[in-house]
Amino acid sequence: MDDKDIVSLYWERSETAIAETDRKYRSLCMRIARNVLNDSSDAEECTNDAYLAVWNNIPPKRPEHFAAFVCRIVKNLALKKYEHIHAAKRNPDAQVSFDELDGLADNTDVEMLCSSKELGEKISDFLQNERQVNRVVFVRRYWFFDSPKEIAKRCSMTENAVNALLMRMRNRLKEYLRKEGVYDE
Amino acid sequence: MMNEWIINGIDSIDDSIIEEAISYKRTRKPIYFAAGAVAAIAVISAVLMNMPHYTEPTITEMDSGAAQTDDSYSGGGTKYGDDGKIILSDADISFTGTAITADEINEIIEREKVHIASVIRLETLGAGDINISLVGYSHLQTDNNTVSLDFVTLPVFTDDRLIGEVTLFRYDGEIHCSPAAGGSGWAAKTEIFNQNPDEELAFVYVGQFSEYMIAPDNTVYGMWEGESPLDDVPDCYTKYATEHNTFSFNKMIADKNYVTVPADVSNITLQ
Repeated sequence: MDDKDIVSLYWERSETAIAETDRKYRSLCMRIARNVLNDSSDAEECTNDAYLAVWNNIPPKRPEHFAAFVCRIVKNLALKKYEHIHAAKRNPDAQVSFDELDGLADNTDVEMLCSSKELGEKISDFLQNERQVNRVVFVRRYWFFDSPKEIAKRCSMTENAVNALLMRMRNRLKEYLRKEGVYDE
Repeated sequence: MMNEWIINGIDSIDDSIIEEAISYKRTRKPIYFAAGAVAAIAVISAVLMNMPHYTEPTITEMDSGAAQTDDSYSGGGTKYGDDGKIILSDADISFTGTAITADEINEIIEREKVHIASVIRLETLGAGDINISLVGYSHLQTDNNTVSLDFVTLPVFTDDRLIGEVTLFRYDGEIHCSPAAGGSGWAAKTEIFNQNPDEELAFVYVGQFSEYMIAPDNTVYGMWEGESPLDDVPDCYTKYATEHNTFSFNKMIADKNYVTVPADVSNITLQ
């Protein structure tokens, strides 16, 4: 079913909406939650909570990008849930992806000049100027927390190529943000 | 703190970028199902046999390169190495025939568009409005590095997918057209166009029947499972891309270089 049709079902308050969402996006939601939580049962609970949250948000919202809307909710719920779970349970792949981002700027003597929302806009601009495959690799790694191995399979690349690409992109992003005056070191 | 700031920033990127990453799946070598292609040819041939003005010539009689037996087309035929792999030509790229002009394409498509759409609709039950591109591409034959300008392929598509092609070809002083549809190959080709919407993809033939598309980043999209003979060619896009065998789907759309045949217009009645 088309995403717009699913959104319409939510607006009609049809419970089929959740079933259709589940049918179309369950595996994606489970993957996102599992990438953060590293636990299938927690991920399942998180996914079900996300469906309820979608139900409670549509209406009044009518998201233009329904898939991204659902993914954001799952991810936010997973991150919140993570806060309540022992850090040791976190997926090592996700933890590594956080650590990789440390290299974007030194942790010391950094003056942050914009909000996360503004930074998100800058990063979006940066990504829009990258090749599509670069964009996808970056987002799959740092938004979805996919492992380099999973990304390599999805993008028909080797794992080494994914890691090398990510390193080059982090360097380019760092330079871009510096030029944009997003932060001073 | 810094880490959290960056992570929250990435979390706030545009929804469109996230959705792109959800749907993206790079298909380096999609498999076109031979059975589907054979079935499509059989069905289209049957249709053509019942349409006098399409009966001759057929493309297989022509010097299309890939559409002939390996040893019969001009250039001497496909050569194979001891390892069974096709030997690619080292010759400079040359052009044969006479390019079919934009005016000629417009004229023949305007004249034949309803018939083309009707034939293709037979193989794509449920297709609504059908769009026929007015720009297309020839193919570079890698066995002899020639581009036969007597042939041009025009994509045929609906609002969301490629559903077929029309090949225009010169023969005996006239331009003829041959529509093709059916089989599962169009879905794979749609995916390739979706992955490279703005790119000028280069279209080449390797040996008999094998069509490959090359993106500017040298990614080779093939018709068959397994290694592509082009994988070992360094910078193969630069080597094989010419103005006559490249095509950008989005450029065609942006330039509005297509005609639309509405869903309710047909000159074929199914009994």
